[in-house]
Amino acid sequence: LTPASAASSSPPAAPPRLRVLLVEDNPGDATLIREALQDVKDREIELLWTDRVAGALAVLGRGAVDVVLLDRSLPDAKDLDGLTRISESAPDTAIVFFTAHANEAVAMRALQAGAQDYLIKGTADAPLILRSILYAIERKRSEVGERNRLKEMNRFKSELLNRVVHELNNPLSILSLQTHLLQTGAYGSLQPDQDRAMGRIERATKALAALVQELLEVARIQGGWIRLQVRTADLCELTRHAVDAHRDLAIRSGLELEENIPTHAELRMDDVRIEQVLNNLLSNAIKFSRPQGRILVRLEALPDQFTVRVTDSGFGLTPEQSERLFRPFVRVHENEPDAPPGNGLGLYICKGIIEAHGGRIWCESPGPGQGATFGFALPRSAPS
Amino acid sequence: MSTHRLRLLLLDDDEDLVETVALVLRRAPDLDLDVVPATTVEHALRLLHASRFDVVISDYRVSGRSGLEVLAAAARDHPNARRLLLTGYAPDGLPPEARPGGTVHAILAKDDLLRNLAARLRKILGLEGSP
Repeated sequence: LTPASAASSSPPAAPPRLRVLLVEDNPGDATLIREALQDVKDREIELLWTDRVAGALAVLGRGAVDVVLLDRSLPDAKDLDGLTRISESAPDTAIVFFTAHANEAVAMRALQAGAQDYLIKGTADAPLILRSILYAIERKRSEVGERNRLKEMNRFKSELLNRVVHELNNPLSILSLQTHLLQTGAYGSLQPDQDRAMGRIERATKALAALVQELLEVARIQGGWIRLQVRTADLCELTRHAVDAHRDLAIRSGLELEENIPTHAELRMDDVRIEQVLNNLLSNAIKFSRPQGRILVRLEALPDQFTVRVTDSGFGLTPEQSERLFRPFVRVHENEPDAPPGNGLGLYICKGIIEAHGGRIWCESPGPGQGATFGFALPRSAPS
Repeated sequence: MSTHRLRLLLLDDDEDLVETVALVLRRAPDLDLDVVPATTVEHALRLLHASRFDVVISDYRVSGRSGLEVLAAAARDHPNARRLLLTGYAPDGLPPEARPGGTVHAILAKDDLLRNLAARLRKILGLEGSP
């Protein structure tokens, strides 16, 4: 006999013992459930009992529990509070929620808050409790499986993006360096039309390199591995610098560019990335303005944060467009005839950078054709 | 002031990149460098063993091996050599031993090669400000 057939000829193993944690402060109710579970014949059950959420969290912290039977009202938790705390600290453990009366609304809220099933006190006998326990465990198992599958898919996507972008680095370096060598006469002097062609190759290579850098930043944001190079810097100086850098382009586009920036706003931040955000908001304001428009950049120092707002008199946005704007690859104006080109990554990256600083970014617009304000707030306290 | 030309070992598994960067460095007007290219870790280690180098630049990943191996050998055999890690990764994506301090003196980002390579080398070699 082979070991495999030997195994198949032995009697089926008994189902594993169930570890059940009962969280119930009423000793009478606890006894009723204990007695009901003693009546369960076809499964071995180990019942642990505590009368508080704090006690449940301690037990869950020590080891594996298959299911928690949770009362709605406890000395240290009211309504769904205990449910929320337990499902947050033990996200892989199934929970059956007990309500005192047949209250569908409470039961539904409990299921939405993380319970896998519910029972009404006083109506549950041994077979019903066992059925509910087994159902809750199975449902939790499939929830965890789905959660892990999504996590794995997300990780794979970020890793793929990261790899592809890094593989692009070598050929891009070669392209830009060889273009530079050709343009600077390393292989002899170029005819005027050859020189123009090299100029086109150079611009295309730069655009490609910029896109690769943006995709790399997207991969960092999505993978959650964006790491800030934080130091103390002056946000006013940074903002004035960005405004000055865009002045020529604004004038050439027939726009007024005004600023209202105080003298001094020191805080801990990744100044290179914050400058990137400022440049992005300013170049968007110029791109999405029409001639004779006006752009105003304001910096405000509040007790706990600094805010920067860039207001333009350009395309404007519907509420629905404002809401979608910060998602990756979204270009809300792409169907409008005079919309400038773009890849829809800029604002997504800005959002990632600002949120990594513990700040927030937003946009407001009175409506299409009426301009928009893009703002961000950075907390004065240092990001971790 | 030393009178010999500075010898630079350049390691990357992409031959096109090595030859391109070598040409850029040889043409840098004020850097009088003798650039020796290598495309495998073994070859780079043999070169380091056989002769003197003043600068060693290595890619972080060289055909499945670590360029840090070569920089560590350089630190052992030529303690005065400047050791630079060439990488497509941002410094925050590198393990601690690859960060500047011990084996590695400085990191060169691949996407920064054109703008920065000659300037960075000038600074690292202490040639800044010389005519």
